[in-house]
Amino acid sequence: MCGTPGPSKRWSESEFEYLLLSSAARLGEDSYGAAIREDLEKSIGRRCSIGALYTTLERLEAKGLIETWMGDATPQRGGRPKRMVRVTAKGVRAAADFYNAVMRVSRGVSWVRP
Amino acid sequence: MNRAWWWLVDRISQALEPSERDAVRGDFAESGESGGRALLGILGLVVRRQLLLWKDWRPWLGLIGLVGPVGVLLTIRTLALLGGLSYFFWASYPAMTTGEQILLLGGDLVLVPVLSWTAGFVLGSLTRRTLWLHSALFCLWLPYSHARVAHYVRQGIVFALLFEAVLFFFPAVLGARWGIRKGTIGLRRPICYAPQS
Repeated sequence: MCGTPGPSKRWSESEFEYLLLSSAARLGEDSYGAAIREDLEKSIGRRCSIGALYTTLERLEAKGLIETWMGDATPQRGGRPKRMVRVTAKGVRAAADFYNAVMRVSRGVSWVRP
Repeated sequence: MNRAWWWLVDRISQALEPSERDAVRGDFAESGESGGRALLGILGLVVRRQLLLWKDWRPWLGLIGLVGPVGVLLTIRTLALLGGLSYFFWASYPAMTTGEQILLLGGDLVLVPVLSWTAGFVLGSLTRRTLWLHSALFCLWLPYSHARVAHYVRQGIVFALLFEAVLFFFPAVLGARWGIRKGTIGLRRPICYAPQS
């Protein structure tokens, strides 16, 4: 799975779900497996396994936070289709709630690495 | 070497649903993934998928309810049948010529393939995507079975193994294929089929 540099090597399940939702929302219409993976790797500076990505996508879909469907095949992908992703209204609400909670709880806190 | 990795990626990705397999292979192609990394990625995904499947009750029922007890039962019945046949064909054992025992032998000749087919069908219907693992565990009985066959039938080991394949293995494979084609079944049908097993 993707992880942060430093002592904590892995994201928890819910943290990774939030990262994935944010990435999918940022990519908008161009949100699909490989693009999300590339965007996440750029953002967090670590490799992201395809296994973590696809199992998390399935979990988010089961929770109703995203919708996925098979897109068009392109020559760049060897004629294989993309798994397109769209964040649902429920997903937007869940991500916003999580973000607001993190912002509120972080107020006045200064995280300095020892 | 890279071609070998990609060949492995192809083989392992067969364990995924077709749509997911296409999407993942497309992602690998688009991001220019190396064969080694793609292999690690696909292995990770397949392992995660398999582990998630075991959150359901069906693979556990297949393992505890079928692979264990029915595997033992079928192995014992097949061995008994082979023992009887070997006496009948090769040893000319006088007791085997009684009508009752010939009837028992004939009954087993029908019972073992029917049980094998039923066990395969229920396993195929219940487990589908974990069937390869269940089949591998089921086959753990085979070395024991073969050792016993060699003990019973010294004169015709090849014939005996062929017989075992026809009576036990092929019906189970056909049943499993049928079960997979029929798709996942609910709780009622396995309960109906279980007493037959």
